[in-house]
Amino acid sequence: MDMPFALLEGRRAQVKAAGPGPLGLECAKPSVAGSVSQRACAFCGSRVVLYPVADALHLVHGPIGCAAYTWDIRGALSSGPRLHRMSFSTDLREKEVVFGGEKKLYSALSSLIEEHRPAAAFVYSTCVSGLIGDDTDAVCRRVSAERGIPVLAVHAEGFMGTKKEGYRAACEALLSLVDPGAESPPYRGDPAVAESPSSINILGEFNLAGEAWIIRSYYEEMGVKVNAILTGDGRIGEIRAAARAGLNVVQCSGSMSYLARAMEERFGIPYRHVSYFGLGDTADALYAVADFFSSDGEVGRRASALVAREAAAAEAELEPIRAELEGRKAAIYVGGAFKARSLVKALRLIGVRTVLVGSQTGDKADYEELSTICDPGTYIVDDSNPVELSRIVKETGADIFIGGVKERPIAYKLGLGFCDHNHERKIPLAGFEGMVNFAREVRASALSPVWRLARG
Amino acid sequence: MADASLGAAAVRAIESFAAATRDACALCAPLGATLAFAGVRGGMTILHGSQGCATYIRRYAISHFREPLDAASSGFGEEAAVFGGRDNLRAAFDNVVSQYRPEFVGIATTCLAETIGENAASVRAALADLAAEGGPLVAAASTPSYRGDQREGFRAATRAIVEAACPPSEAVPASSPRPLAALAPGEAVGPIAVFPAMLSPADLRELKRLFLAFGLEAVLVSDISDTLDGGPWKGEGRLLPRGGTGVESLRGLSKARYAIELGAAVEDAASGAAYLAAAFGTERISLPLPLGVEATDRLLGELSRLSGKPIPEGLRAERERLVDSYVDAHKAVFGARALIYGDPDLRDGLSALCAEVGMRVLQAVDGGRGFAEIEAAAEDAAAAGEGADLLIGNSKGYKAAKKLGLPLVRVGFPIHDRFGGQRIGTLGYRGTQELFDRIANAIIEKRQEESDVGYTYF
Repeated sequence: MDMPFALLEGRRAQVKAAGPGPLGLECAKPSVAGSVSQRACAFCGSRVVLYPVADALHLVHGPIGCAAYTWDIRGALSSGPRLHRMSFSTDLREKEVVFGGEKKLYSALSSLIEEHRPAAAFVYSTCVSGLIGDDTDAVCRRVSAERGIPVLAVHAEGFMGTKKEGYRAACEALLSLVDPGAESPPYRGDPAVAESPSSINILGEFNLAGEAWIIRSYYEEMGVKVNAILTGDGRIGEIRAAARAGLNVVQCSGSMSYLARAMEERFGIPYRHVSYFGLGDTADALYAVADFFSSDGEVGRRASALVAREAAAAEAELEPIRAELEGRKAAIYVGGAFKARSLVKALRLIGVRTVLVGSQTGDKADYEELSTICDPGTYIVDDSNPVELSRIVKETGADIFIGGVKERPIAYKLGLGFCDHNHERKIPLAGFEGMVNFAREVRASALSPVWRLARG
Repeated sequence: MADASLGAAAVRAIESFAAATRDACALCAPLGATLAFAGVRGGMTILHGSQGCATYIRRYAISHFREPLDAASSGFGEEAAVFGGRDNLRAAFDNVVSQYRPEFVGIATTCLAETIGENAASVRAALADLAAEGGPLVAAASTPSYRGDQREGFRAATRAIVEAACPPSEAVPASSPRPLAALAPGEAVGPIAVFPAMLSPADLRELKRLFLAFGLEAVLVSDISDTLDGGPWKGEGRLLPRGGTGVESLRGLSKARYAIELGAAVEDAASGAAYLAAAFGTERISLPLPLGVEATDRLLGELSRLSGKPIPEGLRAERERLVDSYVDAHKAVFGARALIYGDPDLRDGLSALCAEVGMRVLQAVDGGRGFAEIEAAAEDAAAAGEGADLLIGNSKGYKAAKKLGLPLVRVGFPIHDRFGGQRIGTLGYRGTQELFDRIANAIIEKRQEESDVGYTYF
């Protein structure tokens, strides 16, 4: 299909418009060199997935930048320890690049474990540590034996690929922690469900702005025990005992599907894909869990009551906002396509039509699904860049952008409202109350009087 | 730091921090290079390495400037990491040129490229046949961050820019630079090459204003004052921001009489001014950042000498107001202890300011690359009854400031937790005035907050 704007030669199959029939968008390929992709790297993927584990030591084995740029990168809250908020790096210098960094890694790990007494340690490989051939596995095994805690090498050298390759490396590290014989630590949630026979793990929820706590409170109200959250407000002890849950409930499928599948194969724990963005998706998530535990009718009854109550309260808040936003057009560009799907629906709920939607790392199924839920003509893009995004925004006349830090200035320079749906958010956007917050955020940006001065 | 008397905590820090850097204060070299390249008009950056470096650096800089900053990557995958990234670099260059039609392309190497032996020279070789007529000016800098931090990357990139704009082929042999004839009466000085440190857009605007006050044309290498602090784009369909130092101005620097370099000492190998001096006989003038009365006096004295004009009345009045404000607040700040961190250019400037108003300076352990060392230094000072009264530096010191219960006066890069980091002024009499008021007020605000009296006069 011809586009009304120029595209780089190598990018033409990754930009399409939704229409009847299959979308056939190309995806899951390396970024075109020089395209100014918004993607990060494999290292980043491993780092963001494991980052919220609050009682672990996170040591980046590489030059200083890799650690500096991932220090406090997510607003992942902890109810207890905050070791994850510190940034540790072996800070490799020329000497180590020439002679190897294993000695420095050993010494850094040993002294940091001595000082901070973590429940486990994650050691992240980087481009440099991979290229110089450091045997980080051997160092980790040695320190683990000496210190008596799990010390895990996370192999996601930046050049290995996109965040997705890093997610997989993170999942492998998590999987190696799970021990079917491990006892659950004392329950941190609502004591009323501590002995509940219906128990789940929440996967792919990172407790940004306390979102995991909101989700957990829903399940607990349903009478379901939340055995472990991976990895929001995460604790090594709970991750180790994750095999004790009856069901894995997976959000952010891009990051955690691998772990869910592996846990099904290895421990026989089934899983369900869900999303907590938007009223409909949140309700569906709770009902999916209630269905799974249908032998306990009480769970389903409580889920219905919760959804009815919360959805009605949220609806009442959303109605006046919808009246104000009706007819606006949105552009969405986020990391994972699964979230993009929820956002299209959530925006529709407040009267906003999506005219552009894309992601850094979506797969074929994600994009086909997106194509079916979007209005015909909606642009769907994979691994896009500032030039494409600004051209499509102009072409479609979008007036609101939903994205992350790197998309924000594109939106602002072009005179669009913007809602940050990324790692750094301070306001919970998940669950019923999150949907209300999301609507308020969109409203605050779309209706601001400053655009009268900035556009034009 | 110069202080030889390290306390117990600092010594502990050095021993236990030898292997690991905690809460890094240092950033990476390609970040500095990206900011230098961003100050050339119509300029684009390519980072030669894996995709993550470009994205991280963009995200980090965007969070500070709140402006678009497009930087491309040559996008090494596993194959390129093994067999070399030459083809990726060519593809990246072609795609950047076809998308952006840039007037300038700056290429900085990352750790990955350098580890497999691809440096600035190999980048230049890979693109040699592309530097044809009509194409963008191309500069390449070697900036592995295992060898240097953001300041070194920035300086290396500024040197690479003038090397590319004023190639040695136009130069006389370095051994015998052309002696510049004395200025004839009435003859214009012409453009002056100015190599600032990694400064805020506000400070760069102030520098240009100071030069202009003497009728001098400063060609900043480089100038992000508009490119990273500009207005809305209002549907112009632009892809690159307005502003920056133009390629033609840069090319003209081979004829510049003077090259002024600001900040802490710069090694010749990373100095654009040293290059111009060696290649074209340009007079290299190294000055501290004009931060504080005396340092600003030095710069203005120099500009007066070069232009042959007296210091304008307006600037004298600014100086008097600044000195007057020092007098007003001198007791509030006297003896106050400031913990200063950040890059050496700013650290030296802030130290000079503190010295001239009677404040005392505590600095992080020399070579310290993390905030853990800074906290250790502060704890030592406190144990000796000489605790810091405030921190002065970038916003990454917030955690330390909060832990120590001290105010933080935000200057430098990055400022990630406030608006307006790009508009923080520190230079010239005016910038110093702004900064001094903030420092003095941080000190009295602390006294006000710590008292339950509720003082309404200070």
